Amino acid sequence: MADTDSVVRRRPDCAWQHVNDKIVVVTAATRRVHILHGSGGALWGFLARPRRVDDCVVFLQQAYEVDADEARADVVDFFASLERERIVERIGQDAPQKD
Amino acid sequence: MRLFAPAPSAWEDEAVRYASFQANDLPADAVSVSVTFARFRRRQRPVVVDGDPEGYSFSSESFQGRYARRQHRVDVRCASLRGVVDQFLRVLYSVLLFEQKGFLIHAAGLAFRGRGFVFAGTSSSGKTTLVRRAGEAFDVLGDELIAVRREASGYRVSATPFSGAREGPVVAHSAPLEKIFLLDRHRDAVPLEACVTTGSAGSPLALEEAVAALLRHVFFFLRSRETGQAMLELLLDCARRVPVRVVNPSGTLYVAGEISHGRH
Repeated sequence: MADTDSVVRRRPDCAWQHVNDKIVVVTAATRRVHILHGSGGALWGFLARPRRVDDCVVFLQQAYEVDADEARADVVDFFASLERERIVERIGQDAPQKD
Repeated sequence: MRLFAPAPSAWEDEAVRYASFQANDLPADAVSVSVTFARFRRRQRPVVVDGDPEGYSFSSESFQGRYARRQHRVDVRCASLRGVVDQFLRVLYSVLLFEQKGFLIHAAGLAFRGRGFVFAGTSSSGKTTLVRRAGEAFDVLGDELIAVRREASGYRVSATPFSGAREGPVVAHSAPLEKIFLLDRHRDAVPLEACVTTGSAGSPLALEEAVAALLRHVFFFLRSRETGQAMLELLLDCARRVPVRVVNPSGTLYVAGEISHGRH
């Protein structure tokens, strides 16, 4: 998921729950359990609706005061791992509605 | 649960255990299961359970069945192979239990002085060994799959006929669930009686870790997001109400009033 123009969303078949300040996610397809915390949990919250990867990078920059390159690398790595685990998916490059 | 099936040539070992279904206090009591044996093409297929307003459909490489909710009736065709009826009933039971805010979990279950304890673990984690080493002070609820369900004041743990290496009939005991332990053989051993009598045996888990661990051990086949969400919420509620700890319980032998620990 290197393309930062692409739009990412939570997979609709994932079940998840806030537990304390973490997110517990269960994938319906694989029945694997994941715990997202820190910036991972924050990005999951930001994905309450589909987002462009670029927007996620800006969100992370603002939330954690990291520079753009670091934020981009973190977001791309994070989404790549979530995509492998079938927790998020790309749905194209259409720009979602702005807040 | 009432089970109607041809002569149990393919499942005689299990048939003894299913007698306990008759006396079980679980919500599946009212369901009649009619089994017929049939030929199945051997091909690798996962267990699939699909729910709809009228009931559930079940399929796998060795059984195919339908539960009609209104009639409280299950009709299932099973391959005439050892263990298939047992496999189907496990899946069916997990679905019926889930409808009653309960779940089956891979665990050994013990009752001690009227209180229930679950020891969850994967295969080879020591569930059957634990049950074999439990002294007479313990009532054995099972060594493989244990039923846990919500009730007004908390959770209740119940025996099921679904055994691992343990043989013979299962007594349909149940008890209020006091504590859930996750088995970990790499930890220092703690005497079994200490596990069930002291609050500090083993290590506590953060709530999210407890929920994740329970999810890994739950026997569950419904795959829709809604059912996954409902199970997640049920386990979160359970972990909030029932302490979940990690422990390595050792066998306990009572000798002349003293306690000595068996080898683990």
